[in-house]
Amino acid sequence: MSFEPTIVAFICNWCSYGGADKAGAAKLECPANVRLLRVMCSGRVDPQLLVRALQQGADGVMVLGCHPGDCHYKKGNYSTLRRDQLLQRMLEQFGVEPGRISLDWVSAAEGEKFARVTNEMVERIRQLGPFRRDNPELTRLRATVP
Amino acid sequence: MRIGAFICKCGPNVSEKIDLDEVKRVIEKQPDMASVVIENFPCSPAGKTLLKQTIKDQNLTHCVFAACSHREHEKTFARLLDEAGRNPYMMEMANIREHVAWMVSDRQQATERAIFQIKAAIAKVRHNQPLDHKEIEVSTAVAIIGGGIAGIKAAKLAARDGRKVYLIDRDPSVGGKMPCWEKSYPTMDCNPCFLAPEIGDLKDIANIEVITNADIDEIVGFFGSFTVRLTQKPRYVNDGCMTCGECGKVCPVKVEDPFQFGLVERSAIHVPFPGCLPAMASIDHAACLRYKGGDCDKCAAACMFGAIDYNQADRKRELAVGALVLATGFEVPAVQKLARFGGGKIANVYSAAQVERMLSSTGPTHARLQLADGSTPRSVAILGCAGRDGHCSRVCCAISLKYARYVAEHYPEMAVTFVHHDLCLAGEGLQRFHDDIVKAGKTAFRKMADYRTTRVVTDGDQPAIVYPDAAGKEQRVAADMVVLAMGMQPAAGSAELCAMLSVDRNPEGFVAKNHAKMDPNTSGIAGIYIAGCAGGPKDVQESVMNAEGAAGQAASALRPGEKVRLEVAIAYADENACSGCRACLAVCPYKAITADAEKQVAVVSEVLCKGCGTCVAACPSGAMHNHHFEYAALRDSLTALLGRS
Amino acid sequence: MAKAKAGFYWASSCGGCDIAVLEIGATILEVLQHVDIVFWPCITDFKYADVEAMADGEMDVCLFNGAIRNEENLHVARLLRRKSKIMVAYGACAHTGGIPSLANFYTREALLARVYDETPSTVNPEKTRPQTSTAVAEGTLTLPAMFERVYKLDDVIKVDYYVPGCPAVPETTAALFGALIAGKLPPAGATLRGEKTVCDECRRTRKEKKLTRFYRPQELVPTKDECLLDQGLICTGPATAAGCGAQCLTANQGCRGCYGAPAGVEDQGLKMVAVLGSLVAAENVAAAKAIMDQVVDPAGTFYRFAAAASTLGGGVTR
Repeated sequence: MSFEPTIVAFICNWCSYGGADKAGAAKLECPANVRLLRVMCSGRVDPQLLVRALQQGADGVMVLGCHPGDCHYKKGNYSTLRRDQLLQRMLEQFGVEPGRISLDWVSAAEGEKFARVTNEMVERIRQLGPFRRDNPELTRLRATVP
Repeated sequence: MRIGAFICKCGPNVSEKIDLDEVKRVIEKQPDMASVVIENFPCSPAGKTLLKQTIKDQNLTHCVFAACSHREHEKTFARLLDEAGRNPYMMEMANIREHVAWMVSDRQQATERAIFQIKAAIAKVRHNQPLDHKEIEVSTAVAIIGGGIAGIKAAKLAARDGRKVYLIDRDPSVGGKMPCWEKSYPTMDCNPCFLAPEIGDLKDIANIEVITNADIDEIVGFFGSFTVRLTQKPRYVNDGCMTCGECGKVCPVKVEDPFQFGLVERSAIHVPFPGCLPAMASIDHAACLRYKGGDCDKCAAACMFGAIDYNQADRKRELAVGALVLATGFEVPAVQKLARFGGGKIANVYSAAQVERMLSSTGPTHARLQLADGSTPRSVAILGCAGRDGHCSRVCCAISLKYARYVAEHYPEMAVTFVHHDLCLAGEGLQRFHDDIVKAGKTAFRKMADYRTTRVVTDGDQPAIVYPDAAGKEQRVAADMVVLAMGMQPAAGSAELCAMLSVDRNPEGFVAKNHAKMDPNTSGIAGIYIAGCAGGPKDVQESVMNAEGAAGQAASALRPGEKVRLEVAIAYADENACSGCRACLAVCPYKAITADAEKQVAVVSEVLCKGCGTCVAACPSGAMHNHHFEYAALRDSLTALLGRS
Repeated sequence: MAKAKAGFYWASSCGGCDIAVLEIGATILEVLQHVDIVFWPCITDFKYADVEAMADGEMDVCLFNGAIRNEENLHVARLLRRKSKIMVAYGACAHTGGIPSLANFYTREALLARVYDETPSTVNPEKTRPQTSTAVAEGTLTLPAMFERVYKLDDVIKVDYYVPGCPAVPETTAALFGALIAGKLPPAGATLRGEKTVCDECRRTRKEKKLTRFYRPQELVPTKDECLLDQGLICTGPATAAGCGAQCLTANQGCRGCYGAPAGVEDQGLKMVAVLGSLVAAENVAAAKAIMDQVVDPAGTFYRFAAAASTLGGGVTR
């Protein structure tokens, strides 16, 4: 059986949440394994949450915000965009494959884009395989505490 | 903690796609669950009655609604909680319709997903705290930025019902560009004569405060509650001034006079123009010798009213207003900027604005066309689209025709040629104006095929316009004087003002309209309106129409007693954890965060914060929090979503 | 009253923390009136056998510095834990992995290859590598096995108190002894640090931040009175717990983060990403990338002392 990844998508209240609504209203098939977490703005998504998601069981994490220039809060998504640039490089140093954490823009009108990016994400993470969060060595060290 | 979960069937919409009995079985096992109810239509009157009763009977403290989109019924359920005597923030929604039932066709997978989404909502609702709504009354005052004709007309209309209006200009006088343009088209009557009573009225309307010589430092806030912080620069002249002009005669400094577009110079102390408001002279700080370390006091000695006060200082002002009108006007590029047309290089090439001043009774040549050597030209060539940089400024053709008409009337022997591209004559009466000039037969019309390759060269002792005709052949028109019709550009500083306000600009750089056709007087930001050329090139009539539209919008929006509901799910700083690094200050899109100078901690304005949470994510110290979206709430929600709780 | 028994140990670390204990100066004499040192290999000749001979819980306190890099570190950590009533992770390496845990961004194999094969000065044609046991004529020589990763002390044993810092500051060390002698120890699990962040102790003036470029330390001599971040130098002060007195800042050097994350922060490095990302003046990907690429080694810079304490433990299993 092929690997079915677990994916968390942080969606902003104003654009991508609406995009997901549109996808649903249009009955576009979206992957069941993309679980959604609403925040008011993609700018609220603390990088701590993104990496925590990986560490707690997600194989991939998506941040979906308003298109640059269209942020409901004017500039929140610019912060998201900039953090992503630095985060991706740092994750690479940790050995996290590019694409495990992805940032994209989905407007409230873009139901089809929501369906497309979530389906593509699942396919991409299927190819990458499960996130190797477990460290068998540490598990062993902890298990053998006298 | 007694949590209730209400699961909506939404008729077949949810119940056919998700095994709700299975969902109920799983959710019931969550800790602190007091009640799990499956209901067909919780949003219906009967459903709401049942839910309210359940909340009361089961003594529920926290509720989760597994139903449709937040957009559809979040407010419905919040109201329901309110009606059941609970705080409306003590609930969460899990969207299992649009986000699950409608997008996942496999029933088992949809059921599992729905369970995760509901668990995440339960994990989050545990952190919810009651929040109380706050409202503030709008300020009915209006600040109008820019005191040209658009600003003046907007101020007068907005002030009509007695509201406070601040008319702010960075120059020493209101009036803007209109006093420079003496002749109006197509009527050929006197612009300053219309303007004078409009300016004069400002003195008599008690609720309009004119603030000149002012730089805007900062504007924060939102519709109903803006704070405008500005610095009023000193004019070094007090209101004893009678504008007699004796001071200017003794001033040893000469600088370019912007009012005369560089044709002549003026003194450092000067009266901006006849009929200025306030009717006072003003010292040009940048030019005056005293402020360059000198001790000149010639003007003070010459003033017979004792009106000179060298010790005036900057005055900081803070204005509370409910709306802003941007009437920042336009700029005409200096003739030197038009290098391709010999501007500033070839003798007797003048900008339209300079010629306008020559034709003015208050101009340097006292209503006489004059060449550099003082003689009267025998021929004039007017070049359209000379300052054109992409956009058409819509007024230059009519202005060029106005000169043609003026010359024909006042200098019957003078030859006039108008080299034009397209003729833009869309304003009231302009086609007739043009036709009359053509009929009079004194003006030669020459059409250039491409304004972008047209240039001005020296031809003997004359300047000459060189342009391609329709056949692509180069044509040449030499004349004693060449007049360059120059377009309108956004006023200097308007880009910075827009950036400060987060107001968009259009590709030409003018303030963008909220909707080009349906909302042309409003910017994209609520409570910020556009008047006159701030929004793009206009003639006087159009500017006035636009300005009064903007003022009407502002006045009708700011009714006394009108309240604005504040967002309460906002950020707040824990002063026991904040070290005052100031990272959040720059992050906030609303400038809602300030640094408390004494405690060195961040302080979030309850009025300005909109609750986006960008500062919370950014805060490196974990000191910034977000009501309703606390880190711990999102963290636990995430954990539940991943099935780890 | 009987004197308290104290032990000190140096695991995977530079040894600076052992010296840092002595930085309390003459206070050590006062401490010694109340405390007997029963184990401190750095100072005098104690053997592991001396510890093994102790009864469980015989030591009142153990100050353990250094990270857990190999089987020996682990063995001694467990041994000392058994023999000691109070275990203190002393210094950044024991607290959060410290500098040694920067190795976690590489696999063990990559590290060994680098050290034993690849460095330009290495001559190792036989491809010799350290072995856990080697037979020689006299018998078998053993070496402790090196782990795949470096761990912080509380990854492998229960820790009662944490003293951050590279090294710990003498005031905190003295305060710890003082509390121990007075019997007024803080609640178990406490980290002995300031309440806020390094910015709270830094006296430089700060502006509303807008970063247009990052300088590397050799590219700029910063002024002494303005916030280093405002000047474009990376300073991890905003995401680092206070307690050091902002010593590096006093020396005109950006905070390097040795105290680890402050109380309200789970992951120091990710918070640095969050804050720098938020402050850079760029509104499109290309502009953001251009500035962010000036941060040459984000992981090494933001987790210089805390890779082992990062959410991902300093490296995905490869």
